[in-house]
Amino acid sequence: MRNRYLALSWITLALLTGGAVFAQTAEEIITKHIAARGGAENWAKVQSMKMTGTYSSFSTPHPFTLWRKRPDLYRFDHNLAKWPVTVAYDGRKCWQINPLYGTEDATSIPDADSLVVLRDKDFESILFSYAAQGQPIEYLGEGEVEGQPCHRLKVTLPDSTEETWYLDRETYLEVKVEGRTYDFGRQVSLEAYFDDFREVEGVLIPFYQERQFETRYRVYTVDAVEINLPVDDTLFVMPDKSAEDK
Amino acid sequence: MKRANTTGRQLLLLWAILASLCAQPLLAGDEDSDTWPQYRGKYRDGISHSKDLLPSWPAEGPREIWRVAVGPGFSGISLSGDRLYTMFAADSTDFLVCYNAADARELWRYPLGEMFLEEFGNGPRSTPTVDETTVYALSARGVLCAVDKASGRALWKVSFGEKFDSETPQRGFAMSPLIDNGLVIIETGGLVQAEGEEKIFNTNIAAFDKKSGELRWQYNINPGRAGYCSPVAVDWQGNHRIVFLTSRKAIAFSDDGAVAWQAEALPGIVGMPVFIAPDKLFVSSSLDLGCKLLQIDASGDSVQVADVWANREMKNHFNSTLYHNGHLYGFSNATLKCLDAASGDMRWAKRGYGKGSVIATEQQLIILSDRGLLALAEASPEKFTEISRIQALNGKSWTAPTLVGGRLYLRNQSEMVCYDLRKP
Repeated sequence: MRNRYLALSWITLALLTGGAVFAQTAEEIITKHIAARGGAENWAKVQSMKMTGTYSSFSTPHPFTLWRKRPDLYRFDHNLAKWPVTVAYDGRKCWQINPLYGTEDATSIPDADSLVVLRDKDFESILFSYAAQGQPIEYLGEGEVEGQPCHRLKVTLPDSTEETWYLDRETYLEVKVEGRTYDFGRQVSLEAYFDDFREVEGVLIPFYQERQFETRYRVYTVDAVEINLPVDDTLFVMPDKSAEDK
Repeated sequence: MKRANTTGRQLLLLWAILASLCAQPLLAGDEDSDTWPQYRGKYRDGISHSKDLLPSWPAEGPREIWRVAVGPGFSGISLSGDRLYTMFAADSTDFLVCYNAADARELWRYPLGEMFLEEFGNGPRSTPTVDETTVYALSARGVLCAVDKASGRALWKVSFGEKFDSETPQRGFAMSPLIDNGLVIIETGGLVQAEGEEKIFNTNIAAFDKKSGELRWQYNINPGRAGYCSPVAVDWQGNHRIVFLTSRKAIAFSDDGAVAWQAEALPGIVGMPVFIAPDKLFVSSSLDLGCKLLQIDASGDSVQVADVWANREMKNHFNSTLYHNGHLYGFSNATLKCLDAASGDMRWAKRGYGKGSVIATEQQLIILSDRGLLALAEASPEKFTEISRIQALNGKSWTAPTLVGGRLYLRNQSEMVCYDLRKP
C-alpha cells in the first residue's frame, strides 16, 4: 500500500512539474530549436559567412578565420600549436595544409578525417535538415549538463553513428553534443559544448564552442561574424603545388 | 568489467565510508606530512597537509611573496627545508635549479645536458626528488643524476641510453624518481632491437643505490616501452610495495625487486595511479578508454584481481587524479570531475579550467587552469563551488601546484610564483 501511495505521489509530482515537458515530441523540440537559432527562413538568406576569433589547441590560442559559402564551400585557417593549418572543402573534395601530416604542401584529406570537414562545412546544425535527410531522432527525456537542465535527443546520422544532443530546456539552443569524430583517421568519442549565442543579422550563432576528443581540447572563441560578404570561390580551391613553385 | 548491483553498491558505500574514516587521521594531523619533497607531495597523492589556510582569497588574490622568470619545462616544484628545486631549460641546456624558497634567490644550477626539444614544449618533464642530503633528477633525455643539495655538485649519474640502450620516448623521459629504502627506483626504458625497419622496444624497472648509483635490481618487461607514469610507494595490505603502471600493466614490487603481483591495467596511462587503502588502485587512461578501479587481493597464496568498476568518466591526460574522503577528483581531458570512488558514479563535472591540474587540502581544491587561472574551490562531492580565483600565470600552464607550509608554488614555461595562503 505504501508503495502505491509513493507511486501515486511521483505521478502527481510529474504531472504538476513536468507533464507538459514530457508531452513534447522530438519534432516539437526541434521546431523550437530551429526557431531559437533564428529560423530556417533567416538561415536560408545567409549565403556566405566569415568568422574570426581565437582558436585554442594544446592550451595555446591563435587567431582563426573560417569561411562558409553556399552551397557547400568551406575553409578554416587556424593553428595547431605553432603550425598554421588550413582545412577546406571545394565542393568536391576536402583538402588541407597541415604540417602535422608530414608535409607543408596542400594535400587531400584522408577519407575518415574528411568526415569532420564535411560536417563542419554546414551553416546550420544537423537538426535543421533531419527531416529532409530522413534521419531518425528520438526524444530521450530531460537531462542536464553541469547543472543546466536540458532536453536530450538521440540523433542517428546517415552513417549510422549516433549523437546525443542536449538542448537548453528554456532556450532550446544546443548546450552539448556527444558523438564521434576522427583524429588522424581514428574514430574517437567527442564532446562538443556551445555557449554565448549572439544574434547576427537575424540568426543566432554560438560565439563559444569547445570540443573535447580523446586527449584533444579545442576552443573557438568568436570575435566577429560577417554575413553575406563577397567571397571569391578561388579561396576554397586547393593550391596547385606545382603552380606555387613556379 | 562488471557493474556493481544494488547489494554490491551498498557494500561499496559501506566500504567508502570506512575508507574515508580511515583516511581521516592522515588528513587531520601528522605535522611531518606538511612537506613536498617530490612529485605530487610527500605521498605522491596530490594532497597538501598545510593547515590554517585562508577560507577565501581577497579580490586581488592571496599575498604574492615572489615571482621570478624561469625557462621552459614542465617539471614540478619540490621543497626540502628552506630550499626549492625545479628544472627548466636555458641557453640550449636543461638545468636542475635550486632556489632559496623564502625569496627565490637562485643558489645553484646543475646542467643536465642538451635542452630537450619537443613540439608542444621544450625542457625537462620530470620533477626532482629530495631526501636529507641529495636531489635526484631525471633529464628528458634519460640521464638520472644525484646532486648534493648543499653545493649543487654531482654525486653520480646514469645515462639510460648508455646503460640500457634506451631510446628517449617521443615526449621525453617524464617519470619522477622514487626514493625508497635507500634506492632510487625508476623506469628506464630498454634495449631497442631492430628487425628490418621495425624497432622492438623493451623496458626496465630499475633500482639504483641512492648513495653510489650502482644498479641493485632490475626487472625487464618484454615487450614493453618506457611510459610517462611515475611510481608510488604504498602499504598494500600490510606489505610495502612499489607500484608501477607501464605497458598496460600495474606491477607491484617488493623491496628486493621481486614482483609481488601484477594486474592488467589500461594502455596509454600517463597520470599516476591512485592507491586506495588497503587493496585498491584507480587507473585512468589518456586514451578513449576511461578509467577503472582495481581490487587486488594479495593477502593469500594467490593473487585475486577484480575490476570493482570501470567507466569512461575520467580520462586523465598528463595530470593525475587525487583521492579525498571517498571521492576521486581529477581532470578528464579538459573537464574537472568528481567521482564516487566506491561506485565510479560521477558526482559533478565542471569545465572552464582547460587541461588543468588539481591538488587538495583538508577542505579545499586548488585548481590551476592550463592558462594560469588559479582557483580555490570546496572539496565536496555534493556540488562544485568555486570560492576565489585569480590570474596567477600567463601562458600555457601544465605543471601542477605545490603547497607546503601554507605557501603555494606555481610555475609554467616562463615564470614561477609563490603565494601565501595562510590566515593572517
